Amino acid sequence: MSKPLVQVSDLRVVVRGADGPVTILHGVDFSLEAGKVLCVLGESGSGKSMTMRALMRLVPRSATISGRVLIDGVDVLALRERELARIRGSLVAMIFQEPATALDPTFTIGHQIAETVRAHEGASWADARRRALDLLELVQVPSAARRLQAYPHELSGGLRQRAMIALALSCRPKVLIADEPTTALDATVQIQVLLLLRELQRELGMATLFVTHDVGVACEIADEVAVMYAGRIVERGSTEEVLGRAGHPYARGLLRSVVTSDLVGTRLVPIDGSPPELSALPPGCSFAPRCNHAIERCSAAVPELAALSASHRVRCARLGELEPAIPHAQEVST
Amino acid sequence: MLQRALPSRSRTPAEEALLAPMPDVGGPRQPLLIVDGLVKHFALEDGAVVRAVDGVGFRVAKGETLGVVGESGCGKSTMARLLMQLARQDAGTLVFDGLEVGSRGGMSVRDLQRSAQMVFQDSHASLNPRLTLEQTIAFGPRAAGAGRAVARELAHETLGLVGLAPLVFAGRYPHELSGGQRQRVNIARALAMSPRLLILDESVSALDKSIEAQILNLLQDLRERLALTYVFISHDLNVVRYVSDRVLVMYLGKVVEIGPVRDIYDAPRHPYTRALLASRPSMDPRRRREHAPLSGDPPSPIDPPSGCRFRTRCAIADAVCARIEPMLAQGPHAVACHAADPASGHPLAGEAAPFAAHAGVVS
Repeated sequence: MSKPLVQVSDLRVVVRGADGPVTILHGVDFSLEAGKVLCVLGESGSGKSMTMRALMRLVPRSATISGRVLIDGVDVLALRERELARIRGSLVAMIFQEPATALDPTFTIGHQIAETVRAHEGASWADARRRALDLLELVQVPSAARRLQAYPHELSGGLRQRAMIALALSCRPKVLIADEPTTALDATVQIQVLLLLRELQRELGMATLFVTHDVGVACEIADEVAVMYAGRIVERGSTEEVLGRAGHPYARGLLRSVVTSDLVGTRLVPIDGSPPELSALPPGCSFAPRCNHAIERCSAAVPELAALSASHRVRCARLGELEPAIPHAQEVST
Repeated sequence: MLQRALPSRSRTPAEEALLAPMPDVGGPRQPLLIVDGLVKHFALEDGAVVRAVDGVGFRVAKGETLGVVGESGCGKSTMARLLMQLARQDAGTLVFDGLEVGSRGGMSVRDLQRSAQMVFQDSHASLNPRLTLEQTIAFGPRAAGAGRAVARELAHETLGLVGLAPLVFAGRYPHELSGGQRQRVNIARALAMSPRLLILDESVSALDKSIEAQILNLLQDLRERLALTYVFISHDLNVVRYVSDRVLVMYLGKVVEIGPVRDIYDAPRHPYTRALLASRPSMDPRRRREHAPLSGDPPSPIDPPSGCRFRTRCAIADAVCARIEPMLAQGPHAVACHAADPASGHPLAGEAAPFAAHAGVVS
């Protein structure tokens, strides 16, 4: 097994709220090898986006980060501001949900890519422009030479997202962070961008962290999946393990809530209640108040992320006491 | 129907009318809604015209759910606004339970806007942050002529119907609620007018999956309990399949296919419907999609292609597709495609399954 490219341990983020400090991340641990895709799956407020931002230290000024983030041997949390600018884009690059707001509306696509290449690699404008053209071709933008001259508003949503991917790849990052990159796209465009990302990732051998709330998207792209709830990873493992044999009651409930063709004519089994306020988390397991299996012990202490197999880990106090996991499509009938 | 436990001594006629849906005048076989030839264009500053809705017709039977799917720019939200008469159509008619809307002797727009109610996608933006939930829900009935007491009772009753205990929630403000609870309030507000038709425009799209399932269950319960009819607009094809009895597929302002939900999902006939269905993520990591069925984005509804609007992205487009616009055929499962019409002159029109070899994988 090769040494992981990304190693995150005990990552914590605390922000100053109106009524005192609020802990957004309660000690997140994971690692990722080069050439692999880890999907972070979770609902709004679970901390999935904050985890990604913390990796690049793109957090609000009021936030304090602690723990350890090692990316390709670089201790990100120990870097000085000035040194950070050097790793952002070249070691780690990020693509966002809304390319329309992530790109600068006042410069052409070609200029924005070339400028990045110049800033990081000190290339001449002519070289940087040639590289911008190569990149647009790499992300399969049709008539790329003409599109270099286009402003973001002149492109369709799908092309804008491709342009942003080109921008992210412009400095050959080793780690790509993608935060819901296909969520705002139409169905027929989403699948195109997913296939493109899969292909690029394979070709360039990047480690990719992919944030999504969409189980279907995770099925299409992930090698490994981590499920987050209320600022903690509650389950992680290979895609087959987590999406096929989920162990945590929250992960099982989430998978059961996803409407698929198998469920037509049945009544959906939602998770009752809503996610907790991060400023007032229940004691012990944060999911316990919504969990059908919760017992007294669940509220006593936060359960450890315990091993179910070499790669499959679940944070549940009743792990082993619950019925063994069954593929989620059939679990509905129980 | 809603259970009315209100004191009857002092009700006004307006209040009496609000406490029950408007009567069924056409009988069970009269469609609740007949839409015919609906057109809405928007003129832009530079003289271009957005053909948002361009000749749309369909029927919605009483008690059924019609799902509406399509990508951005296909006109589904404009159509929803036309159904509510929040925008006035350039041409075409709406017939609600046998009565033409806005015509002499028909149904007034005001009555339509009571009998049809809408629930939007953004649960936060559609609530006034300065009003309590009770005030928000009572607002419609008050505007329709109900007194304070009756409007308040209606608010409490509908809060109960959507699963929010009135004593706990009536005095709360929207910012004190979660997204799922806010969407319940929006549904309660719609129900307070005793509607017969609910237009749900991406009503569950912004919710987390675990909450979406709660709201879908609630909508199914309410439909049965209150004998409601739904027009359910969504970009989520799996959710539409789950809730709908029939499905309408739109592309650039036109209906390209309409039919019973099973026919649309198991035997789609329009190449666009097939591509849309084949674009869904597989839900099985061992059987991933290998090809995207379509390339590029949907074209803009400004200046749409001639003839069939889908032909620029269609794998089986022929010369006839650019020349002549295909009409939506008659019948329960109708499609607007030359390849499905033996008389069109399309080279594949005679084949039994003209798309099978061309349209990629359909699960």
